[in-house]
Amino acid sequence: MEDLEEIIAEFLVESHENLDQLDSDLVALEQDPTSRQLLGAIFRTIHTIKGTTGFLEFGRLEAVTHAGESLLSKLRDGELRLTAEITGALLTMVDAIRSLLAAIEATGHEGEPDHSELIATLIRLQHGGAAAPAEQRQRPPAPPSSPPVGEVIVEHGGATGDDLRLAMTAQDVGDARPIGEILVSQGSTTPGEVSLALEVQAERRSVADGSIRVDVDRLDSLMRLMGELVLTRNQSVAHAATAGDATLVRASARLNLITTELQEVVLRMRMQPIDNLWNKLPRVIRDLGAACGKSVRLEMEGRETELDKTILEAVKDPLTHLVRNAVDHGIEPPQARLDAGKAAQGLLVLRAFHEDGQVNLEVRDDGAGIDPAVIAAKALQGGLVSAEELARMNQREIINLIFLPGFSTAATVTNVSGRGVGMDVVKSNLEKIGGAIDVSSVIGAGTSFHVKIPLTLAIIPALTVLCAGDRYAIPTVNLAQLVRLEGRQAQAGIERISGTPVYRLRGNLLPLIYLDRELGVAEPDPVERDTVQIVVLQAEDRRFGLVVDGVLDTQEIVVKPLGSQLQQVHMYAGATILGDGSVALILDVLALAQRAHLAGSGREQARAAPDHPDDDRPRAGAALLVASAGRDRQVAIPLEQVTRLEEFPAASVEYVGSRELVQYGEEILPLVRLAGDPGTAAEADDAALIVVVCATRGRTVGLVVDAIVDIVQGGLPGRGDPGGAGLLGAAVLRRRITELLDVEQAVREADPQFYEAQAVPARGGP
Amino acid sequence: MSAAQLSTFSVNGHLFGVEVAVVQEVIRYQPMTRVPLAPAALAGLINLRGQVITAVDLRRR
Repeated sequence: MEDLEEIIAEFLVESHENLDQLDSDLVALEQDPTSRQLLGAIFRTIHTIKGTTGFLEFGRLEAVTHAGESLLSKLRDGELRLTAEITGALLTMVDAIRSLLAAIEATGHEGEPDHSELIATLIRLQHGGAAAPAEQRQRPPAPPSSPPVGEVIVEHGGATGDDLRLAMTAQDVGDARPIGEILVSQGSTTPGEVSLALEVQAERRSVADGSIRVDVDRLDSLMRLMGELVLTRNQSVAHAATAGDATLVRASARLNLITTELQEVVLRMRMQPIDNLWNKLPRVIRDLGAACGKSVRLEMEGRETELDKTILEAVKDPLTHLVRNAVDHGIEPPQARLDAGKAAQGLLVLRAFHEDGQVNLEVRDDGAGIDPAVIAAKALQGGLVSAEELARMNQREIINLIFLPGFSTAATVTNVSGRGVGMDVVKSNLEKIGGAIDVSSVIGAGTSFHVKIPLTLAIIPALTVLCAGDRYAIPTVNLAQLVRLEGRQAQAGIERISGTPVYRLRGNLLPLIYLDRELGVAEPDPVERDTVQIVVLQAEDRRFGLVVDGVLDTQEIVVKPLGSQLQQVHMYAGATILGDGSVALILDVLALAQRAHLAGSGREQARAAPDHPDDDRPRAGAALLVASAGRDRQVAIPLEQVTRLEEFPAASVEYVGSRELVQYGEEILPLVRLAGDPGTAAEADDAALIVVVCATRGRTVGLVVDAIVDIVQGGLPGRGDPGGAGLLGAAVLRRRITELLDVEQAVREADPQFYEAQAVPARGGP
Repeated sequence: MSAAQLSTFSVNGHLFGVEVAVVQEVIRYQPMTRVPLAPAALAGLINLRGQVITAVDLRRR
């Protein structure tokens, strides 16, 4: 009895897989009704299920599949043409089989559902079409698996059955050549036909026998064993090197090579093509389209793109949701599309590709697009944002509001989508696996969702660095650049702005963090180093430099989780085992940045899209340069806008009318004194002016301050009482009231015509 | 009185025991990777046949 249960379990697993394949095959068949290959595949699947059900004595299942099989055999033999009605009936049959299987899985019995109507329909269709003349020459049925190549040739009309028999007789009497060659030499067929047939044969084999199912647990234990093997390999290689036995050295070198290859293969075994997920979508789209009265064509690019199985599972729901949304909300009804001058049939494009060690997924429709005005109104109405916040957002940011919790744009709640949960869940599910989602849309032309996810959670490319004698791994996803300062540069290149070390990277100030100090492993008496290694890292939309003792190499590392004691440290994303078997910690770059007070609270930063260089306004949470200007006045300048810090001798200032200028490289830099008129503080000619060079709206301006105080992580709480034009608000920074400077307004205050002098189109200020 | 099998060991001259059922294996000391910022009792991380194991220093605990 136990054996039978096992057989049933096996049958259920196999059948579920077959049914998923059937769904997509049937929809594909609708596009290409005469495809013999598809028809053959569908027929075989149903046939297999029918055969097993008969054996297992599931009468109802057998009755349904039998009716379906008969209909399919007529289709396959060309006696019937596929119609929408037949496709519908076949899909209904698939659903019926599925519900029967579900019942068997749950209770062990088929239950008592009534499928007589479905069976009647299947039989009616089978006979109703029987009168129609056969439109295609009848061909022999496709055999279930890898057929002999001769039969394939005959099947494709490359030779006749008699030719084949003749050739086979020749083989029987001792002709050792392959059947194809004999046929060619007989003049029965051409070499082209043979190679085609061989291809077909190979394809069939790959479908039928090319894969087996393996329990994921077994794969995991294989991974663990692999780890042990690597360690043993390392010991053996190390021992062989000292033992001085040439044979042993050769053998261990070989062991080394094979282990490495084996490791790669094992890692790859967990990878699955995205098509495993996609092949369920054609059916979803077809049914949904039918339910909404829309016709949608699905295009898929990059089916073979591979992802780790766990990631694939994790993106399944978000991706399906995006697709459903696109059909339900994105693509317009046929009439609306025609009115808009588009084809009645909507287009949905799914794309997948690898880039920068990440998998990119795109869901794009050519529907109505998202109207930012509608989104803004909805968000306002739902109390998700304030009017002030909205006013400061650009269109892209507004569209991205759809990811806020509790946001729904569906005018009517349908059973398809739009119940107020949705996009925020999509976003949070993707973020859970280290992914990100972005949306862009053009009204009338369509919407495109762009998802970036790591290739695998288990293996990531990482940079190994050295710090105080230990090795650490940094995910290369966060890596922007490596900078090495040597000799004199090592000391001179790094400046300090009130305790915060910075490095000028291509005109931008890059705040620096010393890894050894952050980790508390710095030598008590630091020696002056003659080289400085800076790893430039990107955490959300902030860049910073991490100073390490040395950069070793990049490699693919396997991420191992840390024990609970260590997760509380909030500095490590995990640990990994390096090639020599030693353990290295993986640094959590975001945590590092936060420790250094650089990145703001995750959510706020994530919403501020990083790619808007035209967007000058300071964001909450941005790093601020704090400077003193005049008695008791402290101002904060968004670090984003600061390009350089300079000192000019006061004597170098020149005057044009009332404006002060200095020569700055090959440019002339206008100066604005934040402390007020130069006359208030009489300057000696040999005094130095401390100038913060800022770029706003494409123009460069120098802000003269008394001293640079600090760089801080800005929070802008008290923005209620701006102390005058040119100020965005005030905050308490370093225990003093600090005015947050709006650079553009401050410049205007000093020189109202400053921007107009340049041919820059004026934008409305806030 | 129920009999329990214990695996015993000594730390600093004191004898300790843990239930034998929870002991997976006993290994010799091996080089560890130190973990900066971690609690003092945490001695480091070791590679036990491909798995990263946290080592606790009972002396400091």
